[in-house]
Amino acid sequence: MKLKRIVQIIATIAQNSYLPAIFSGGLYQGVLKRACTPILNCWGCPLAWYSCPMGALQHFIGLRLFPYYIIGLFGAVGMIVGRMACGWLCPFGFLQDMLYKVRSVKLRLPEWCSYLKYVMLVGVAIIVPYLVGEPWFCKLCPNGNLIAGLPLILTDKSGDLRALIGWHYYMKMAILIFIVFLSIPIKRFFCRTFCPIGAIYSIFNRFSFLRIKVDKDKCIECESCQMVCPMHVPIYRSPNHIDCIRCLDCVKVCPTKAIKHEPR
Amino acid sequence: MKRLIFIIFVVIFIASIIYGGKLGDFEETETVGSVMCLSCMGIE
Repeated sequence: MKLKRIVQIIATIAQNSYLPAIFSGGLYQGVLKRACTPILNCWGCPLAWYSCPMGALQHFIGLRLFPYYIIGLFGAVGMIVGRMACGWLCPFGFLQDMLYKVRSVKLRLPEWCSYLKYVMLVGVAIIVPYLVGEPWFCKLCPNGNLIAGLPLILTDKSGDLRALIGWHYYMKMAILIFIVFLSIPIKRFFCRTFCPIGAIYSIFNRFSFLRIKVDKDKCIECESCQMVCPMHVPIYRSPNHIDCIRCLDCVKVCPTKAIKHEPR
Repeated sequence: MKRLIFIIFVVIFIASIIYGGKLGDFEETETVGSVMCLSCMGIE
């Protein structure tokens, strides 16, 4: 098994392993929830130890407080490794990697779709929460429904939560099905088009300490790097592309060893 | 020079985390779910 897969599995378990929730219901609400993971991982997941930074960001914006902690977290992680956390630590990214392995017709995403995530970040995760005081990205987030909504509803013994299900739940379910369905033919569909955390980290890709470099003299433009890339990034043309998640698969696959990862 | 600018920015961001912590951001983050959990679950 590849090192990246092992890290993804360990990261998923490390972030979501509050086992008492399985036996006694409810979710972890202890002191570790003061810390945010650097990636999308819902606060409401019964197994989650930590908070989601996107939920926390919207919470602070909704309260009209400057989110020093969250901005600092995103900035420090982004400056050091760029978008690497998306490639190695994100459970929802891991799920999409697995879904793409399902045999099906494969489709390419138009390049302009990569810019939709900035609309999601600025519009849905910043402006709307500021205006209405509610976390509207969380209201749409497919990961929240997958790891929080579904398990909590399915394990609701009292039926109190099920009684509250309405149009919003069904809308989130439809979004989740839409994302899962499109992640089978399209590489990391959600990460490339809608993830606001990916949008934040992508800004740092060009400035981060960890960088990808391509030796143009060695590169034969065989496109092997783009084929193996989980984000379908043309690494040989744009090594620090906004969608590069620093998974380093391209480094291993390059037949002429033209691609390297190195500190700034 | 580039490395120096990089280090300055990292220090600023880490200082932002510490300053946020002093303002009570960690405690506020802990309470996020009590406000938003229903949003995550898609129920009102």
